[in-house]
Amino acid sequence: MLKLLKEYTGALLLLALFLLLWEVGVRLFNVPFYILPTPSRILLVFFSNLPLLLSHASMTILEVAMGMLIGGAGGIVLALIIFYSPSLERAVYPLVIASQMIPIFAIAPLLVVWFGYGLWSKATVAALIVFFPIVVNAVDGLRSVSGETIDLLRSLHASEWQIFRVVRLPASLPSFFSGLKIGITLSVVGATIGEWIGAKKGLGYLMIQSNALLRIDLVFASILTLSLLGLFLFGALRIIEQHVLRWRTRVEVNKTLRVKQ
Amino acid sequence: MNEQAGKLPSALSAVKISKSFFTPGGMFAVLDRVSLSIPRGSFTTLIGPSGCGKTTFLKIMAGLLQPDSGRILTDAGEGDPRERIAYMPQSDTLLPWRTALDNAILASEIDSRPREEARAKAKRLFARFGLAGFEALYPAELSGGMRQRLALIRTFLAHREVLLLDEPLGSLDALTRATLQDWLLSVWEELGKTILLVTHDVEEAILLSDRIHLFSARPAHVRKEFTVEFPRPRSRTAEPLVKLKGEILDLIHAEAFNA
Repeated sequence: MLKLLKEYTGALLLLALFLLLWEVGVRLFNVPFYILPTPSRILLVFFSNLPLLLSHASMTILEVAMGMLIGGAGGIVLALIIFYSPSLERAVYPLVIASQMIPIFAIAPLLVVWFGYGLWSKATVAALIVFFPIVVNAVDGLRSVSGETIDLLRSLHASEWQIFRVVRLPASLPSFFSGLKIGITLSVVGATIGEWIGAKKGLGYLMIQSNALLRIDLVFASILTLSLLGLFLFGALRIIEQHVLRWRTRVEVNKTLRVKQ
Repeated sequence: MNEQAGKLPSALSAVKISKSFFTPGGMFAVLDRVSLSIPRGSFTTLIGPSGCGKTTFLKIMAGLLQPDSGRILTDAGEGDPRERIAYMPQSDTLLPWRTALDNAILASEIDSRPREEARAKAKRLFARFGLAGFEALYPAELSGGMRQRLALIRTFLAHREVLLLDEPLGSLDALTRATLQDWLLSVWEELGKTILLVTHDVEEAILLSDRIHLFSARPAHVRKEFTVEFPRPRSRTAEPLVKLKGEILDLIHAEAFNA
């Protein structure tokens, strides 16, 4: 923990300076709290409304999780299709890339019409956002195996399935995790925007409601919760990644140790 | 060993192998009726000017490429050479996510042999070949020479009779290279395998092998065949060895000039 603090000293100092200027500025110029609340007030509102914020956050987490699950599974299947079938790749890949030119946020209202105000419209927005970085990174990962390694496996009479299991799958995991990490932060944004457009619960919903009631302090408290949520999800994914890619973690740690010596 | 090797049946032979590739610039003939045979238990070297098609030939011997014409024969007759050979590509191709020990048993895993037995066998080889204590390390944690030795152990553990090695020591510094040449020789003598080694290092070829096949410039055929009869261990500086080296180098330079 102490090491972590040390590593991020610069960032924390900068953040503290920013918050201090904010606090002083608001007090100095007497800005009313329904326009811009002070950081101390936001923190106070955050803690006094913690149960409310958490109950809305749980909905957002659920949406993100379902979105990751659907988008992730779809992304993996699509990546495998693109990788193993050149003719399907030519048919599918351009469409996948073209689909990214459609702003997902623009069709979010449609999704609310189709899937309702509940969980599924938001999960769909998150899934649509997540699946692209996962497809692209997983395909790159599957392609990262050198021709010589494949030659080696073939010379041992390995079947396509064995080549996939022994080489391609483990080789693609690092870039797959990169895709997941990009996806998970984007999917929080996606779910929140879905909630702005139509929802009954969730942090985005809470923000819109509070904004309408000029509870700007609660809007900021929601933003704070969202940032913490993003950090938490990203951190959790990193821990899983470090466990799954133990070999890389250990090699990297050893390298930094050697450099320090 | 040499006379013996000459009398024994060949473990693997190539009969009039030809191969061309299609390129944007047109047909590109790489091999032109290459014939050679590798006696069982021998140490054979393939040498030639760079880019002459040695690797292509080795891949055909390994059953990874189909020749346009010609045949590969094993001592079991015509068939998939992959039953008989273990192939080691030019780079070590160790899998970075597997420990040294698990890299070594790759072939056993592909052949669905029991894992623990393979591990035990690999451990014994690690001990004999100076890698004891490194079983649990990842390839990135090993030195270049150790990685190459590990790749060779992996090749031995494929349990095939003929080892096809594509410049296994090419990427190493001179000192490590010399050490590993001695090591490779002792391993060959101890395990009694048949080795076909591709190299561009004439000295290495003379130090190690019973027979040297010199490839011509592209499209390659066997330009000349040498039988090396100096007793082992051989000294780099012995006069007949230096003389042979000069002779082979002259031929290679002539070939390179032709190309």
